Amino acid sequence: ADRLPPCAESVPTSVSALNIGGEAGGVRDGVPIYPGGATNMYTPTSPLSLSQPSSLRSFMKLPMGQSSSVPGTRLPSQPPQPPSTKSKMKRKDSFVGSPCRLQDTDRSTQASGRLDFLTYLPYEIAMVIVIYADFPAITTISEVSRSWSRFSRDNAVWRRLFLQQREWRTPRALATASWRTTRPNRLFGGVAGASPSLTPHNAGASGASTPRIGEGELPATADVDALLTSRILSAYMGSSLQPAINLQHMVAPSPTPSALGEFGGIGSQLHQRAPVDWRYLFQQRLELDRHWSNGIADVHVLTGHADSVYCVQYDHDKIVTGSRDRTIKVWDNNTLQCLRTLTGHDASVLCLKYDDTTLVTGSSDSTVIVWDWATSAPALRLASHAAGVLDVAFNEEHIVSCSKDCTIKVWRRSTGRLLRTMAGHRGPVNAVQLHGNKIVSASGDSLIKMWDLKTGELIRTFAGHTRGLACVQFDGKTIVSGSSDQLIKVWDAETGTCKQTLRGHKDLVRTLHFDGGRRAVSGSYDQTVKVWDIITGKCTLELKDMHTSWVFDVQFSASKIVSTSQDQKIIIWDFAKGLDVADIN
Amino acid sequence: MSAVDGPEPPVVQQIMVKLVSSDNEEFEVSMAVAELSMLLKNMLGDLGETEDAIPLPNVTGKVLAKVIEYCEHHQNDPPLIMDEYDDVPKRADDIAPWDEMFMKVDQEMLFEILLASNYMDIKPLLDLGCKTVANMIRGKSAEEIRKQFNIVNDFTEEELAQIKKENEWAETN
Repeated sequence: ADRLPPCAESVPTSVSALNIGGEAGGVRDGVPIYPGGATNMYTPTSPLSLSQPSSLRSFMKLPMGQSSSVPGTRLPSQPPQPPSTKSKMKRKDSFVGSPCRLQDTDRSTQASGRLDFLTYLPYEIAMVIVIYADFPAITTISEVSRSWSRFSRDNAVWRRLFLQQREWRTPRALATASWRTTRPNRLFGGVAGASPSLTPHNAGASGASTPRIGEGELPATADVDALLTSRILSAYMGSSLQPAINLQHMVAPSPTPSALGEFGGIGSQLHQRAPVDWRYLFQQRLELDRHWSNGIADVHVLTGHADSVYCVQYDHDKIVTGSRDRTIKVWDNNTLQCLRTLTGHDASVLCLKYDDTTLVTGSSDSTVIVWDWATSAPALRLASHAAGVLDVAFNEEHIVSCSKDCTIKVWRRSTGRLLRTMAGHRGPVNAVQLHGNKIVSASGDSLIKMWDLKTGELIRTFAGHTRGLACVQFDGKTIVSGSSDQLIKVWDAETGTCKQTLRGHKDLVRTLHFDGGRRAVSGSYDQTVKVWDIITGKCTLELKDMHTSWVFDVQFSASKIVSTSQDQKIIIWDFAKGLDVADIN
Repeated sequence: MSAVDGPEPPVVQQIMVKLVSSDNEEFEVSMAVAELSMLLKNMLGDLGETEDAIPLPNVTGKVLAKVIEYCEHHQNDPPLIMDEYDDVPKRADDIAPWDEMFMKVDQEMLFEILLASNYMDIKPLLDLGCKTVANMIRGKSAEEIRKQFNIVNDFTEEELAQIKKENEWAETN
């Protein structure tokens, strides 16, 4: 299959005068010019570590006289050979080959002044060029020539392409993983039927190096867990999962009797444990972006609250909601069943935030309750506000609350002691955010204010909205705010300037989520949820005709939006529909 | 600096290093400039101060002059900041104006700068060269790329059709 790249054969030989004949080349005055010899020419090198002693030494040993013959003396040498995968990793000290390469290419250079960089450069350098060229140039590159097409077959290229897509925010665990346990997905059976490209591209090629769990052996514990997860997932997805196409990587259910008892009958849900296939992941992740652009999502509706659902936060395992029915509900994010209902507030639950150990809620009853997840019981009740608590935020040490009483209060998280009260807004403080030592608040007085958490001092005021503010988000650098003037504004937190105004909602912008990327999601009293690119200011997606009343809260993650409304519904928009993105999120 | 009472006042002496190209051209550069090359830095570390010229048998005088020009301009740069994942390069569209001008050379010189910076282990220059080539590739069709780099399409029709099919998923919609 290996053919020669075009250069050696096809270049006009107008420079033949310089090509001192002779097949072996690389010889002058009876001395080999480069110790590595022409056969090393295309062995990939490790360019960023060329100070390796071995290569250094081989240069140092070389007397000057032997090597001074390079310029002007273009010696023919063997035609270039693309590196075979076998030789790729073997030689590390093959840098010595590259000058020979110069001679080859110079022949073509002198013909045209142009030369085939990616074929004649050491592979590792060429690869860096390909990665800088980025996606989607990689696909064009693969269509240029045989030699150029090898880059798009290289998993290392795809890994780096994947990781440099900043908006994808790849979890570190995945970035550093060498193995991945995936669930087979519907794409293989359905959508992808038309496109064979969606099968893992290395299915055949990498087989030889893929460790397999031998027949008769039990799958590793991790795989057992994954299998069980898969069953849950399949139940929740409501889909019959297709067997993975990549049979070589399958972990077969153990044939031993004990295991059969446990795993029998789920043959259609076989799991694959495979080396991370970055091209495949790239496809899946890109497809997820397209789902976001085109609004392709599974929609789930959670019902159970007896009144308006004011607030929501979720993670991989659970969804937590607060309602006008005075309760907080905890839902299983996989089965979508309500797991627990917490009671303690004497009026509407207006806001909530949680972390691994603690849930903090604010209510129209003017109090904040700090709940201990372990017991699901109130641990502290913070009662000092004179009116409803409209929003809360907290970190390791502090809880910040804001209220209809126009103040912001800072509390010690561990004891619930009130540390300070910040007055300054002339209207109810509808939203508050905490990042580092900075508090950002948004008020019905149409202003955003930034405060110092430790001193309570006002740092900056952001004016620009023409009516009261309902929501604000802050990631440390950028502030995004939503207002009754139907606009969303994006602010530079340092300079106080408004960088972007997002127009589209037809009523008060009640809720926003933004976490530092390009994407922001908003919910409005116009009953829609909108997705925005805050750099361009464009609305990229509008979700409508699902909520039948005011949208009160939204949160999004890489593959989902969860929204709540006065219509008592909690809606999950799952853009991962049919994709294998569980660990990409 | 605090006063020194030693026998001699501290004199910051510019230590010079001699480099010899493959075609026996000799260059003299300051230690600070030479040390942008990890190859030279390590060699100088091993050798200690030396009067001897350091041979660079893989680099011609013409290319070495260009490389030295780069190093002299960048000798006071802060060290390269690595990104979150240390092997993921930054994007190609952030080339400084001086560097862009510096890289306005013919393809042969660009190629030789890449090889020389690789050999001499000057990562910022290698990176700059890679970005420059990447920018010559990006946004072009396969045929435009072939023209740009004098490449012959050596695919059979079937092979190319197969590759295009495999690439369908990546087409922007």
